[in-house]
Amino acid sequence: MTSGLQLLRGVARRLAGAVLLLWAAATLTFVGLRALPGSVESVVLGVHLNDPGLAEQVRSSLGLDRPFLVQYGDYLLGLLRGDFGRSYVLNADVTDVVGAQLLPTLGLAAASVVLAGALAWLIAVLSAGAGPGTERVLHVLELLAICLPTFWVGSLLQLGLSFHLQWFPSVGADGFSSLVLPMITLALPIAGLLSQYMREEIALTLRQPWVLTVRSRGASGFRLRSVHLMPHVAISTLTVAGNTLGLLIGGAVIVESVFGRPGLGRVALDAVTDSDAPVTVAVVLIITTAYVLITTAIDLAALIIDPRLRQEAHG
Amino acid sequence: MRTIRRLTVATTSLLTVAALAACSSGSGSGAQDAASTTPVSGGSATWAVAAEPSCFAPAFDDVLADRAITRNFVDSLVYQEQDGTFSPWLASQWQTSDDGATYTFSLRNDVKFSNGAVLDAAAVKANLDYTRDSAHGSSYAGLLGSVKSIKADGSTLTITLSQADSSLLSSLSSVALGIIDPASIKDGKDLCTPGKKLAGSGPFVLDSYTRGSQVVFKQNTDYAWAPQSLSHDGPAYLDEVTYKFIAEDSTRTGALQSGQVQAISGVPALSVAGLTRSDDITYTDGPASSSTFGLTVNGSSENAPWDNVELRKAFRDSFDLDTIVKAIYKGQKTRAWSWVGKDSAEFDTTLKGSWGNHVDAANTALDAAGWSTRDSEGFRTKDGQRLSLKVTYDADSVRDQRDTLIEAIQDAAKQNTGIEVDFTTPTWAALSADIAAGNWSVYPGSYGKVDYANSVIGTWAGYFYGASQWKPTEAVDLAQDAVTTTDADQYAKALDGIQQYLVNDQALFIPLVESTFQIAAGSALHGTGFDYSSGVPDSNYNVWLSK
Repeated sequence: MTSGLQLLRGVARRLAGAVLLLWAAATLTFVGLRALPGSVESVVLGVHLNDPGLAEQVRSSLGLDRPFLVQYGDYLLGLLRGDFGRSYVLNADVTDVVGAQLLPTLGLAAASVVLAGALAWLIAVLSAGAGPGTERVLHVLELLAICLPTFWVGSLLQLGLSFHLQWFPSVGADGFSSLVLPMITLALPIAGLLSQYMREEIALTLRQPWVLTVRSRGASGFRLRSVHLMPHVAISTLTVAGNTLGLLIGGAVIVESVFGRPGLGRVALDAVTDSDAPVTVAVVLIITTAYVLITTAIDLAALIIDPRLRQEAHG
Repeated sequence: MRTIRRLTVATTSLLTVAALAACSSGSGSGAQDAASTTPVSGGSATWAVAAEPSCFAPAFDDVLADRAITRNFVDSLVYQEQDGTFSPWLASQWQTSDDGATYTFSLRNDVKFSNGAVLDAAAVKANLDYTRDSAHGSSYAGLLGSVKSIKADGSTLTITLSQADSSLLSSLSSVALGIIDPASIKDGKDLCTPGKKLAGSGPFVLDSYTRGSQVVFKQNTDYAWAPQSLSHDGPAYLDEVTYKFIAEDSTRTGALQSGQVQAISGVPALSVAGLTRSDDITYTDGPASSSTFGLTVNGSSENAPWDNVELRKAFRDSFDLDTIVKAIYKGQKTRAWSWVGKDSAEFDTTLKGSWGNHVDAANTALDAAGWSTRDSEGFRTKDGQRLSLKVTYDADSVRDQRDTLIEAIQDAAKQNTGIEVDFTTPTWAALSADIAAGNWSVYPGSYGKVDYANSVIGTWAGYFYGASQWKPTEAVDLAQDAVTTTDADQYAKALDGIQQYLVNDQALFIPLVESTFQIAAGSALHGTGFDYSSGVPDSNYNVWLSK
């Protein structure tokens, strides 16, 4: 069997799994949100719930007067067409709301992940094999980066670098300078996590026999760690990085609020507090899609980086 | 000029640091400078506000604070002065018939919307007719409840009422009934998200809006119809105004202190002392002319045993509000005596000192009502049931330490009288469903700058008691009198009666603190003030930046 076909079959299996996952996410959110206290009419109408005729108007315009299964079917068909419906609260189409907020969040997330990766790589490469004292200090710093509340770190950065030193704007989303503080805030816990893994992996790999071979060829310690060890470390680190998506999303909610940035995080937070089901569903589906895409990409990347994985796939 | 200023600073301040700070902040930053009292045109100013407007279309904008932003591009028919009188704005003059049932407005004929459309009587009619049609679901349909018909003829607008309405001009002066281009008005709630279609006639024009971040206004260069009583006419001073939405209190104040924004509204009481310590920041507390923040208690039998007025009064008198408010707000907020704000003409001054903090009398009344035994936690009981009052406040509305205030009352009520206050903060969706079903006990809140009489009818006859048999009929009847009378004395008497009934006689509303809006501004920003039709910060028409 050719490895191309093998790859294709893997992708097909992945896709089927992804569709199943998306369907489950869509169904769970739909059912979950309908089970929340407070009817849809009361979310839409608020204080006007008892106004004569309005509740009926809302029910029929949203199709709430039809059987539950029919509503569910319509909802799924809508999703297939990319129609997420209309926000109950924002008086706008969900696609417009979410579409406008997607890019700022993607930008922030991507910038933070790149920064976190670079930071972690730098720390890991520079420090692997250092003495136990350095190890311990780094370990504490990493733990701090992971554990300190994002809100607190963001506020502190804002206080120091924006309010006092005036290096960066404290709020907004105008250009790169306004991205710096949110990016650092969001990157720190991820960098801490990645650096921890990378250093451990490097330490483990350094004990492998082939390392001696490389050394005996005269490679410097730095070159060894930054070039020869990288493929080995990269795979496990990538997997860990893929699993930080949750951190990233949770962090974005807070970072976007603290730094007054537009984005999905804020929209999601508002949608959940306001019981705005259509927006919540859209956000959940976007996150699920992102998760599927990222894990697939990482699996494929691992196949490319490590020939052994391709071998195992045959067996 | 600069040398003199430096010397002044050096002599009045012992701290070199302060002198340095004053120097570095530039030549024109002192609000007291003679040169800076003459407005200059140009520049752009940025506000930081706590919340993003829920809607930019006047008819559907239910959040009072949002009006400060909407006012920048929306004008009203008449202008409300600080003393509560009305002066011309889009209407250059008006007449009222003797029976008070017909208003004839003559509109200015030089007014255009920012998209070029003409603002005539037909445009005003289209706006008012849309809002008052209850099928459209505007919160403000009730403001026009007395309107029978509206006729438009060129620049003459005739509003015929089914009965006299003492609050009509007040309603028309508010942003809620502001006028937008009628071509798009049928889009209804679609106008909530600002786009090209939403056009007003105000001193600024909507330029761009980024959900979750900011809204930007540009000067309306054609503007020539400002209310006559304002200090200038023609276009506004500023070229551009930005409102940034910053939910975090500390971020807003930090952005102001570091000069990244020129003004903030929604100033937390505890930040005021820190802000005003700096000479570079001016702080203004708005008029207490709206309904106060307090506890609305359900008086119907669904809320037993609290349908007993003696129990409600006992709770009302079980805490020392003066001390609590002082301790929490450090003198930055005033305790309230009535449902009506103390700066309103309608405020009944006799309520001052007439209720509250009568712990002994409260305990006697509770004993007499049969709640004389105590359980292991010290709460009063009767037939094994604890005397408990459920206070529910939607989490989103909790701000400005109102939760701390309620917790202090909770504590005092327990210590002083053994009443349990069960305080929770559910979501608005859950809470509003409970209220609609009549299944509520105590709701903390303020109802904003409203027409008091109409608000009584909407709130106490409709909203809170929509599902109950029992209604506070006496207050509602008085409110009807107040709305329909054309006699000022009769109006005042009815309003006094309402306050006495709700607060003193029935304890259906327990006033806590005056509800005001605040502005803190950098000293380079001048001319900020309040919109007296709503009590919120005004548009930026008068605002200017010193160079």
